[in-house]
Amino acid sequence: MSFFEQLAAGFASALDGYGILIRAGGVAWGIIGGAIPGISGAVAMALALPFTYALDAPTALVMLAGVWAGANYGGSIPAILMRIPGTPASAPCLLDGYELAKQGRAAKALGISLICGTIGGLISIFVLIALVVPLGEIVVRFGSPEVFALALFGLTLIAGLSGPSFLKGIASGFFGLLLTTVGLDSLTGSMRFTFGRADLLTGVDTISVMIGLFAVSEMFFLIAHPARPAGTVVGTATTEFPTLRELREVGRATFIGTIVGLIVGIMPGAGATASSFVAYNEARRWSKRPELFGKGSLEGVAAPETANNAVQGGDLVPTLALGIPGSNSAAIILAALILHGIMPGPFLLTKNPELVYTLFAGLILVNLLMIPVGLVILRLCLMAMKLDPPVLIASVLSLIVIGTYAGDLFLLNPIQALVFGVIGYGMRIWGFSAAATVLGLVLGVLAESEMRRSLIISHGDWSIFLTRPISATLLFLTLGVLVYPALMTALRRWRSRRVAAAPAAK
Amino acid sequence: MKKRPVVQMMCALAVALAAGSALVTPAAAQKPRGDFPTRPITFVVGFGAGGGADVFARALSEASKTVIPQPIAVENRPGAGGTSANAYVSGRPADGHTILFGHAGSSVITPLTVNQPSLKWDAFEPVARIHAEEEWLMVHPDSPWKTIDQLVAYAKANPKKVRVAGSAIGGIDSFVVLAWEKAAGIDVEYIPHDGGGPAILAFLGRNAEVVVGNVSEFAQHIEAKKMVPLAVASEKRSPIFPKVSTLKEKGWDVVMVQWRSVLAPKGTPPERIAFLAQSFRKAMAAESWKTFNKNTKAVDLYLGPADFRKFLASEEKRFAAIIDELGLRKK
Repeated sequence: MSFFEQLAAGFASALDGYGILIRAGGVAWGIIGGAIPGISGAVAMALALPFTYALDAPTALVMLAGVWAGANYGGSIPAILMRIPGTPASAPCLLDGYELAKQGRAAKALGISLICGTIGGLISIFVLIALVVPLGEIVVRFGSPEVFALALFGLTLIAGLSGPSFLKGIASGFFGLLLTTVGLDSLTGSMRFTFGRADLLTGVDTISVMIGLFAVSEMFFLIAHPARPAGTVVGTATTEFPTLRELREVGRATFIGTIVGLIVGIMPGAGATASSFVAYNEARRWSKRPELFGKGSLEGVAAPETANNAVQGGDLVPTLALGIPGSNSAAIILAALILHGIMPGPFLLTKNPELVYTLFAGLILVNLLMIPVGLVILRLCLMAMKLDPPVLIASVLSLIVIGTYAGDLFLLNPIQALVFGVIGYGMRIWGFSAAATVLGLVLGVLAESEMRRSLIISHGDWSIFLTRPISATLLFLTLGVLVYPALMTALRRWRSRRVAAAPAAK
Repeated sequence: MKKRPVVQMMCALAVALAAGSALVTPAAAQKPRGDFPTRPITFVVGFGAGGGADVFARALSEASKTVIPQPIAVENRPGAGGTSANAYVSGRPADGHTILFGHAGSSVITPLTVNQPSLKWDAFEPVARIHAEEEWLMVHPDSPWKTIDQLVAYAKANPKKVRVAGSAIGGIDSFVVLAWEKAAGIDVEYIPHDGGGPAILAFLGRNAEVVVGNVSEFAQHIEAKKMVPLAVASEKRSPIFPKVSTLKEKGWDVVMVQWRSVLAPKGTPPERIAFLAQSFRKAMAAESWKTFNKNTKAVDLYLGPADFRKFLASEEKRFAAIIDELGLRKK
């Protein structure tokens, strides 16, 4: 069978059976699950897994793919509306998304996130379909040194997130890095900063800390400064969706997001969260209006949301080409296969092509379904903006407590959210950057464990980072982005001095 | 008050999910035995959905459909190397309606290393050991070592030169390597990863000469000629690759398998434990269970409550010796 015949058969199979409803149901649950703080895409998929027992394997796969795609998008809804990152990967989106909401442009931000996310998801699936076999060969080239270099590259974003005081930004970033050292050391298994408590063995809970620093602190701020806020959020403009012109304006950011999402998705270990932070930073670097970032830039919503949807295609490369899941979400796709009696591995493509093509077709289908389903849910969520501030704050805080508890059923998580809410409030008052802390928290684990693992691989030789082409390129890029701004400032100063000196010489 | 529809919808969905997971297994084949089980059984797994432990629990609950008149719902409570679930289950009513997943890592090794006796296997009632996966040592197809003896000879002459990729320290993979190093008198560089998948990727990317792990993760790569088995850490040669020698027959007493089992809270009535154990034994004859074992290359290694308790005690002794020798136990 030719490629197109197989894909056509895949579409027939993806559309067959229980009809479109079950896919739309999967997408809807994904969006809602992603929107509930503490329920990540993988958890939403895991909750849907028992339902798939009763379905045949292709339908089960497509439904789970729908949950996955939906959750990638859903995280941005509370991020934009309430400054709650629904999933860790939606954290960069709230930096501009919530600002837009405060300006009464929530629907624009939500619309951009939905449309750009869908575009990113679709392009990554097309790339996956076309290149899964050659990319499968490339996956193994991304080892520990490469992931470390990527994490370091991402950490340069601290500079961009610092706000007015660079020193306080760096301090905030290091606070995040420090937090990642709590728990079981992933390489030696020894305990660090656990104070003998078994419940600290797994370290701080990334999403609870994020929710605390961003959302809980914001709620405290709204309570402390009741005059200003939420009231202004309620605008008549809330249902104004993005125009075609605005979509064109974020084209560059969407493109950057797609590329970053694909590359980071293929890298094992680095996931959706790393990709959306890197995409946010790159979009600002290449933006025509970088000054708008952090103050309500549509590009600042488009880039990370495109990236975390585009990760899906990248994640599936090792999953389908080698049978090794590229992420927790991809692992659930594999678990569904095993439970349906199909063993994933390097032969999945040749032994069960009909299943793989059904998955391909299903992924395209669910990404397209995202727009109508997303629009319905979005309209419902926008109603939340019409709540009175006290009601809104109370609802959000209870949603946070329930959501952070529901993910792992672990009481320490909501406690962490509240404690870091207080810390975040203090950081905000004294001019520290919560975003830089979150970045350190997200990339710190990667940077530390991958660096140490690289050094075990190289028998302690540091040159491993420079002798491997991908890692060396990334490190030089890192050096470049650090030195370039300083160099430009120096150059400008030198030029102006020359200009000033020139007339004096006459 | 327009927020309500959303919140209500979320609540409704949560309720629907909970109800749905209970409805998935309606087929009751036998009459309830006395008063047990009277409601769905919760199978608590200390690892995330999609991993080996989770898939095992779900396959077992699926196979038990026909022998246990109530459904078994799998509940994932990941954290602290699986021991978060131990802590949770120890506080649940000991009436047989809550059971716990256990393997060497979560029931023996981690409780020993963190020095938490309340999380260890003997703070629970052993129900049954169900099946096990063999642990294998693999090399690249173009590896200079064609036998395990050649590899050991090289490692003896070149300490710390051979790199072995595997899952995290404290897991069974790392203990196979530690015990092997000790028995063969060699010193290799163990590279820990966050699970078997990343370890295989690192190996395929030529960041290690050897990879250690569960056979289910390797089988297809062997077929694809990307890996060659060198040795197995089992009692006897594997039925899957009978040509490959065991570490034991080379004179190194390294017998470790990734066994998976079921435990119950301390004080669960013995007749309920016996009922569960017998039911699982019957479930292991189900077609779905056989397919699952075949696909994951696992072998049934059933032990009833009493034998399983003895086995756990011997496992604890063995692992405690290695842990203390390496100073991994928390003071």
